[in-house]
Amino acid sequence: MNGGVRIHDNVSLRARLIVILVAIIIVSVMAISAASVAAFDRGVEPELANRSRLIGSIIRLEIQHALELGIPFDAIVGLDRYLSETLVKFGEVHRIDVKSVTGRTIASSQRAPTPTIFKQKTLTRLIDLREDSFVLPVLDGNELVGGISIELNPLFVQSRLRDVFLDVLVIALVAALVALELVMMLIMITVGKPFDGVFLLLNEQRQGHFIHTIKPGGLGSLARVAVRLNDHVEDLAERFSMLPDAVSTSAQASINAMIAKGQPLRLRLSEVSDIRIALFLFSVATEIAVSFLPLYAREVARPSWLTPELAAAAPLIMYLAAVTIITPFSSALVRYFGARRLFMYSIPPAVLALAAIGFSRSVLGITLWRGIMAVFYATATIACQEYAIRAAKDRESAHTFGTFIAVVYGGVFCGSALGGVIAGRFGYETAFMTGALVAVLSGVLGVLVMSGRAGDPEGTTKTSKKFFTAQQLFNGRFLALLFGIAVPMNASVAIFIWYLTPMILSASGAGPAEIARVVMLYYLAIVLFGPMAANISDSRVGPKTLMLCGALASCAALISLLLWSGFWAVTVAVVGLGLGHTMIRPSLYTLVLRMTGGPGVGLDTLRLIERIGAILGLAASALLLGNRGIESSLSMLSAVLVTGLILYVTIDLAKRYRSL
Amino acid sequence: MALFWRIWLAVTFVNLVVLTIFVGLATLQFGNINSDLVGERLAVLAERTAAPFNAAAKIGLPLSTVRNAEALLERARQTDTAILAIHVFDNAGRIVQSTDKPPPTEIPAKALAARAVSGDAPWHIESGEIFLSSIDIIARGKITVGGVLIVYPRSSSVTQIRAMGAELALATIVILLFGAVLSLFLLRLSIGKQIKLYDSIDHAVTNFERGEWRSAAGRPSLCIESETDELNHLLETAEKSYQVAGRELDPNKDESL
Repeated sequence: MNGGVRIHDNVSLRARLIVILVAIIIVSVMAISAASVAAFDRGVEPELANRSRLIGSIIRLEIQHALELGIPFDAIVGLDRYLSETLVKFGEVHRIDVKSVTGRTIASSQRAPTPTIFKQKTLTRLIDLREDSFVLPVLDGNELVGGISIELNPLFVQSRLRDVFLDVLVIALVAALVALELVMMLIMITVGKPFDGVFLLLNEQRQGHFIHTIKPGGLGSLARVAVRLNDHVEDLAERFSMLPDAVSTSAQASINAMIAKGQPLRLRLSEVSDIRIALFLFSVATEIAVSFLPLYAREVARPSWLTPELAAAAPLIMYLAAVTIITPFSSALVRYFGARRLFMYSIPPAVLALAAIGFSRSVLGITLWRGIMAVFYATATIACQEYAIRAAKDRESAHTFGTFIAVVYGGVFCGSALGGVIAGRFGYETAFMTGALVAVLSGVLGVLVMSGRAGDPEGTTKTSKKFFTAQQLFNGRFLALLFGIAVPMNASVAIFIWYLTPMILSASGAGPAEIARVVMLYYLAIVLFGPMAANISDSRVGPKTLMLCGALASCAALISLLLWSGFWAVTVAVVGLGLGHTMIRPSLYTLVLRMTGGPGVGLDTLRLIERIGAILGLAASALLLGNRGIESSLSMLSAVLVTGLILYVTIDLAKRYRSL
Repeated sequence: MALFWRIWLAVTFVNLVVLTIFVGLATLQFGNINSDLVGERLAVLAERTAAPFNAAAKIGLPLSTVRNAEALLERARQTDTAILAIHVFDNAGRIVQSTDKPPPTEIPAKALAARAVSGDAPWHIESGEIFLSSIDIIARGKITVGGVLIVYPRSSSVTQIRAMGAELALATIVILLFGAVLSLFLLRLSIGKQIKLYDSIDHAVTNFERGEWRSAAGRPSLCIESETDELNHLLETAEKSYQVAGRELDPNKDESL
């Protein structure tokens, strides 16, 4: 395209539109989040009060029962102990006083202040928290003898509302991620592609090339120009085909233009963002069960020899195994079918598998269908990745991988949150059916947007087949990259994020919801900072420097846990590891592509090694780490990461030294 | 300006979609929270109701032989007039005591499945129009011998969820209107220049087309000085290139010359 044609550059409009849309959506989501928290606060208040009053009336019933037996009000034995037991049972009660009608305290019990994980100040400012207390009178026959004063624990209410606030925050993030994908699709369809198409055709025709047409579309007069330019090509092609053979041969030699023979070729432009909405929705659909699949697998029927723990883990094990098995063949499948067709072929079995998991009533059924779904998850996501690599102007650009990783993890994040909410409200079957519907939607949108040439079979991967040989596969630098960086990275996700984080947080008193939120921070870091890391990788900093920074950050995050501990220490380490891996992932793919000359066997090897790293991590968690303490496990993992980094740097420097 | 309004409409539409998703998810989540709160309240009552049965089970008495069982259950039921029934059941799910007259033979299959999953912990589920909350009755040696099941209507809970949905929907409308106005200002401020540029493309295309049909009628082509000169140039050269190629293909070109 002519670089001098300034107005044709739509990047400025696209960037500004994205900024404005994101800003408006953030403002709207923040406003509706604040409204929701306030509404939830009002909504839960009556039910919390009902429970507190029920507790009060139970205590009163016990006391009145003693009075009915003739025990004087101020001589009930063990009242203090009973009140203390009640306090232990009911977290929302802060203090209970039993007083006589004259105001004399007969028994009293108060909860000792407990340290809380979160400071409550911010939330207190947002919602109106009350320190409630109420008094229930105690009757002995027809005589009022005293009262029970119950003081509610404001921290309990706060903690419940904090949970509500964090739930709303997760929902807001889901909405924002969905919005981002919608915005990207809308801008690509209405502004990006029509502009690129028209100006590509204009430049071609200016040079006398009348061989391509484009799909007319876009805003304003763009569609009209497209129709006109298409008509030029079609008219010339038609007239050329009508010439007698002798004339057409002489015309071909003399004419100063290239004219299509027969039907002109329809130009199908490809962009990296073509894959975004389809891949995002597909990830949402397939990861809809992440938050509850172990529970679901534990609930259904299982053979007597299978323990509940193994039943819960079976679908995950099958998932990883199936993905690992199909990964080495994925590039060949993309070459054979084409990325678009492979993605489309993956949709129906994935939909069927999702629905079948929902209706399965045995662990074996769930595991089998999860395995089938994993196979088609792998083919669909790899098809999208290959499409993006081929569509990218610079195929080794980290931007492609940054986009891919951010979209996949965004889908995982949204899928798990969406699945949790839907399963909690309507049951597991509904959640799976929703997943199946979202997968169908991803297929429909895939047909519409993944229409570029990057989705065609064969073509661009020929180069990688030619260049990448077994010799390169056993190249020291390539192996160092795989075993020094990729394997430790994936093993650390399985060991630290999936295994150690829940264990450490649970030991420090955090509940399942808090643990899930901390684990989510790892994925959120990748979603939010992935594109930024990709840009840095493509800048003068370069992928290798960024990858080394990421590896150092990952090591530092894990080693930090040997220096301090507790909830916040783990949270910081999870975020640190997330940021470290955000820097590593796109850079790693770029470096592998540079080494191997394009997508193909090299990329397949990397994908395979990544899966094997995750499986090794899970196996280590299950078999080795169980017998050791958390600290020892962390030390081992840190040592593996540091050793991997040193191995890579040493081999890389040695190779560089030799090549000098 | 048509492009501006189309962009504004698109921005507002995306905002509407996002807010709708948010309200849908938030309402579902409120339903989950509300359900947990009702379940926790009923668990308090179930625990209190189970106490005498626990005592009987600990000394080895069968659940069906507890004295005044009907009165104990009825007293618990009267703590909340909304409670539909309270059942005491054995490990097989057979109801041995109940406030219902006549009592059903066994607890619902869904309740049995939920109990199997929960282990010894109190549990609650929603099933159709009712809400079920239960706690186990524990005998000596921590052996479970049955449980207390409270049947509660979901109607008030459903009403609360609907009210929450309506409240959030109202908030959404207000926020959407605010967002629409805000986007109007933001779009005008930040992409006004680009919109003008895009409008000028429209003008350039129109001018080019006008020039074409006028020149076909004998008028010399218009010379337009604007920011879109380069686009005009592109359009004109592409058009000329087409005309030249077209003439080359004309079988009568020599005669016409």
